Amino acid sequence: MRTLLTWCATAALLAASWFLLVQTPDDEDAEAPFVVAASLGEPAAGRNIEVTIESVTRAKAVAGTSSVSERYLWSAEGNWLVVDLAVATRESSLLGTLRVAELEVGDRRFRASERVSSLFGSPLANGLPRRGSLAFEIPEDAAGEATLTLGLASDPRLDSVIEYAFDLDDTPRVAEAEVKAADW
Amino acid sequence: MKWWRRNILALVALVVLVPATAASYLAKEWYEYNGGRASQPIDVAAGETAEYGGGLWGPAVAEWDPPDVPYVAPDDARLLRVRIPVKGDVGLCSVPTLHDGAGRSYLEASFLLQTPYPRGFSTSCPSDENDFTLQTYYVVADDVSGPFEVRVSIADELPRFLRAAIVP
Repeated sequence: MRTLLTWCATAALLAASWFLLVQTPDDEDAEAPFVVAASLGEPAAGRNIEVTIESVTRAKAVAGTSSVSERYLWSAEGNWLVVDLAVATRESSLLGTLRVAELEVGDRRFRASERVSSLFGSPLANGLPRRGSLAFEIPEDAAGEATLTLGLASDPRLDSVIEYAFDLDDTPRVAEAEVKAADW
Repeated sequence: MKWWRRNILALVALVVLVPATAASYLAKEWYEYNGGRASQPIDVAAGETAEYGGGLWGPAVAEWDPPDVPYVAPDDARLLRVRIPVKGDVGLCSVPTLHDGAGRSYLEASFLLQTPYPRGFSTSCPSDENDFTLQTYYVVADDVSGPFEVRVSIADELPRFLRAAIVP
């Protein structure tokens, strides 16, 4: 009887430790950003970031000003996704720069273009939204579900990020879209 | 003789040494965390001066929307200009940051000015001058209320930093 009890206890402990091992989050999970889901036209607020996504458009050509100097006009053809949005910080503008602007399509990730002057990398202000655009140059075959991720620090671990999920196939298409730099 | 009486010395040592070890580790971690960052303020009342880093700082003067300083910002924003005179060789210092009554902090924003940055001022301490005035600008939403303060630090003086109250 006692031997049976010992075997049962051993089996139970082994099962419990396996369960613990499987359930324990790995280091990446423990440091993952806090995701706030956004919807079109509605403000979405994280710890130190507030974003309103105003429109998402696909375009065969984009035009704006050069990221080298806003005195120079810039344009390019290609397969572009242009997001118009308003972004502000909530608590501190000291490290309040829009540094995370990534588009995930399937298993591919694209960072916002730095070729054109846009909101990407713009310093933000507490409670005073800056309006502008983000431009992503994506492959011709990019289609289906996509997720836009926005955040402040280039390392967003353990901080809020804003995520906007949408379908590339349902996104309105235009011949040319304007990429707006920060409005002030 | 009971077991605990035979081992009383070891038990007392355990009771003393375990908390002492924990306390020393905590103190070391706490010191290393706070020692390298601005954590010990030298408070300066509005209109007053203070010694810091070998110099005399203040009195800090703040003004909302100074005339003749055009800037780009939305209609519901105000521009705050802060001037801090500094006398003495203080070396290099941080760019002062603004903090409001709700605990929000503000980045120096002279990049929003539509006028060249005026000569004779700087946003952080010039290394080769002993008598200068720091001049910084902050863009603040018009519904934000005080009390306001500016904070500035010198790397060699950390964790001490200057925290000056301002009344714009």
